[in-house]
Amino acid sequence: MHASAAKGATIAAVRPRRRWHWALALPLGWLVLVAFLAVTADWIGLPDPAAQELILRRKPPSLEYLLGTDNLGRDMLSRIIYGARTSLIVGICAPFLGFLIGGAIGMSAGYFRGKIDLLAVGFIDVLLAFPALVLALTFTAYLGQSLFNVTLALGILSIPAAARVSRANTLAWANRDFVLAARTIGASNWRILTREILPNLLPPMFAFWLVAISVIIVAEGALSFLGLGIPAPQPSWGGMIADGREALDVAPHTALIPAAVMFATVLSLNFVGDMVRNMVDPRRSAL
Amino acid sequence: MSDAPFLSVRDARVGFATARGPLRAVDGVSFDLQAGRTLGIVGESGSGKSVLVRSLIGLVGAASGAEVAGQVLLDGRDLRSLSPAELRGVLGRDIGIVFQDPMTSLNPVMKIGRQIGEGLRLNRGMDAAAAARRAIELLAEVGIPEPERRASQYPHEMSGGMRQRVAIAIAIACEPRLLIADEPTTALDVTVQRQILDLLQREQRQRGMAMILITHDLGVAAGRADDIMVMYAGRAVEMATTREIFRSPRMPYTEALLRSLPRLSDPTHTRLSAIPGRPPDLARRTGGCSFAPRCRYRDTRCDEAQPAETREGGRGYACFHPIGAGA
Amino acid sequence: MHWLARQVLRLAVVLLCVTLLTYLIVNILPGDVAIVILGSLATPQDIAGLRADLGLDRPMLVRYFDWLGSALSGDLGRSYRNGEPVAQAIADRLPVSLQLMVMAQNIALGIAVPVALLSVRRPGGFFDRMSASAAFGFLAMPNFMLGIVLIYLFSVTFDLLPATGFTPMSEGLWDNLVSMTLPALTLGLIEWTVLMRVLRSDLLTTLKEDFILLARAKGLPPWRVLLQHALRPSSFTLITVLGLNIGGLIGGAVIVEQIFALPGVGRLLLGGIFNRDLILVQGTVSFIAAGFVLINFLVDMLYAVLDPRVRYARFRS
Repeated sequence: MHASAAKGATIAAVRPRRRWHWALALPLGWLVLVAFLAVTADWIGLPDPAAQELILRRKPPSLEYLLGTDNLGRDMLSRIIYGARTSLIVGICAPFLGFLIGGAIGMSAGYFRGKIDLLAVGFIDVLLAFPALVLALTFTAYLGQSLFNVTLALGILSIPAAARVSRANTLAWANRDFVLAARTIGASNWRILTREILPNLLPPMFAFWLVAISVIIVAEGALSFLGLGIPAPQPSWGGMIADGREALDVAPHTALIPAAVMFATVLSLNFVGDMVRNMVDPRRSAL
Repeated sequence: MSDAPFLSVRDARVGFATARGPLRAVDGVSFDLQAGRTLGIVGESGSGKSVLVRSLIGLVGAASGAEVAGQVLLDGRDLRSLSPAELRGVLGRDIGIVFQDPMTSLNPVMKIGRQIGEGLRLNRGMDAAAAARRAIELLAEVGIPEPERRASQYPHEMSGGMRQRVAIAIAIACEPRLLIADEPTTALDVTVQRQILDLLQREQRQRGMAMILITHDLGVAAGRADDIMVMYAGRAVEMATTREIFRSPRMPYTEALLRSLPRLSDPTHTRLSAIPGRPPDLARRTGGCSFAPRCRYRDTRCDEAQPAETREGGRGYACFHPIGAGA
Repeated sequence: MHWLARQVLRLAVVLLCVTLLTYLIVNILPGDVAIVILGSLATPQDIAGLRADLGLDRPMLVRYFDWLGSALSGDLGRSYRNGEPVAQAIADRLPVSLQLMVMAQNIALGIAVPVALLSVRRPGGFFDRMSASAAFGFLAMPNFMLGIVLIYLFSVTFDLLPATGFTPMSEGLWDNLVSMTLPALTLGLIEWTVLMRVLRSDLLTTLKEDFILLARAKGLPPWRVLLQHALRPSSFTLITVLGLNIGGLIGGAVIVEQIFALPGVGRLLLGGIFNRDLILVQGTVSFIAAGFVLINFLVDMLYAVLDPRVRYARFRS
């Protein structure tokens, strides 16, 4: 019908292919810097992040203390960098855990259907029935606070999202002809899952993983802010912001600097994540 | 009635910028339409008939990425020179449109009565109560039983034919002087098609409206249009009264269309004759006649230049080898 | 009604699982409770004795069903710390949390709807691109970070709004609203981004529909076309997202109540956690989770009511 052809032509018909533009350089550069510092923290001669110098508390940035000191006289720059390490470890490992478990659950549910699917969906529903933060802080409060537990708790929180993505994608792929073909040559379920279906799941899972990193970093920040995340004195951005809240009137930098660093990191992650997703999966809707 | 045509279009053009280059959907169309007469615009999908008409009344324009050119005079007023607000006024008061698929052209979450009354309240200044009453009257006029009940229903609660009647009620609500029906029956069952066309014709006669009937079906145009304009690849290739078109088509395309109509009088198992080939890609126009690749009378002249319009009395056609007239 | 019955059954099962899971997590460490009550100098015999008194030596599932039975009749136990009935503590603080969430949601909608409408007037235009960038920026802000920044701006620097402290409505509506402004802004200024994107996307899809063309053909001015024809069909996804966001809103409320020292349910929960008040935490988390499940359930029902096409199709089956 010509009407729809006209409609089709009136939509901005030329969608430029995404290329590397300069706008990508800034966020990517920031992320590389943060990651680099986090990894090499022990070797670049930073002052001990736990060393307190109460006389020098709450000093604004100076030549000696590039980002100032916090309320216990600890060097802010060093704490921020070690905090970056914490955030990155949790941010990368927790969703990875979630995707291992959630991905497996989702694949099984989507492939085998029936009772397994019912159980899986039920399990996901129960996990999703909790407001995420409430579940996470209940975990860490009663299972103990440590880097491992925080990662575990946030990993468990990632399971539903991962399971949904993998289940939906498995459902879509499992009915395709090439899977049927594999079955007819006698391939076992395991073989089909790993050889045929899994490779097709990897792109959307990877895209989701990127999103998850920034979400988890914020979640860890929230937990630490409330005092239920990474235990003191190990530095974490959320904890630093909480500590700095008291001193907003006298030494705002103690709260605002970690806040700015966290914001910049999350923003950069989102930006880069968006770009990567557009390249990997351009059919995605613009949400 | 004055002699000046109610609607006069000169050299209408519509172009879109696409990834493959500029696409000319309408490439220089001109026609006149008198009040009280029906013009049937006939063409295949992609011929530009819908885009043409929508561009005339401003529904396709800069906002949708199209470049529009040409002169459009409605009752002496140049539509292109109007401000957007003035154009909206003309649209609301003087022009009524019926689209092809009433399931998508009616708002699915708004009651029927309100959809009819909306135009009345805006363009005729009626208040809500008066508009509601008039809406019920209009529903009755277009042949919908139990109009009071229907007015508070939603489109999905009605059949296709009924929905199209509602669409017609909306179109004639503000007593327009020009009624445009864009493939009004294509989405309907055959049994309902005739009823809808009868309804349109009746309303037109009663109200003395000028009507443009867009269709790909020559059979539909045959019974209902006074004049027919055949479009192909964005150009008007032939224009004449219905009788002339059917009796003595000049343009080979028109002839081919007529030949492809199955007739009840044909013996059984007669092979349907179709036009070989496909319509051209409007983004890649050649220098010659657009129909040449599919025309049985084609020669070198047809590939070199586009035929200009030839006038013969009241009719016109664009062909180097018109049938029946001198070559 | 068969469909409705199935939904209610599913609801009940989920609620059961949720409360059970909470109970398991909270009670995973057996020794705490008695130590908390008796203090760290208590002897092992005292601890054992108290545990027997409190019925803590029974199997966990038995204790769970005991708790569940009481909970269903409204008794969530008494706080270990001050003996106050948990249900009462929650009831006292619920209005504050609800007010916070409602205000936040209103602020979010109040920003999202106009911005989406204005963006859609000229897609790809200046305002559209600016609003997309702003949405991107605000979405990247953790709510605790925004809260701190807002305090710094409005309290510390300009002294316009209070940083902490809550004035109940009984002491004056205006003061109450002022004390809730920063907290609600903290949540609302992040929430609007998601709502705006969803609405904008839906609006753009709806605007391509034929009935919009017909509305324009009636001569309706662009604003009326947007508001009266495009907005309502585009709001369905928005409402779903509103419902989906409540989980994040609740989590955000916990944080915001803590930052601004608001006496809400979230702060109650945190207090219970820090004081090792198991019964309180058990009751509060169960309450929050159950409330969340119920709200989602209601949103599903609301969706069916709002879209006449959905209503027609569902109740026919």
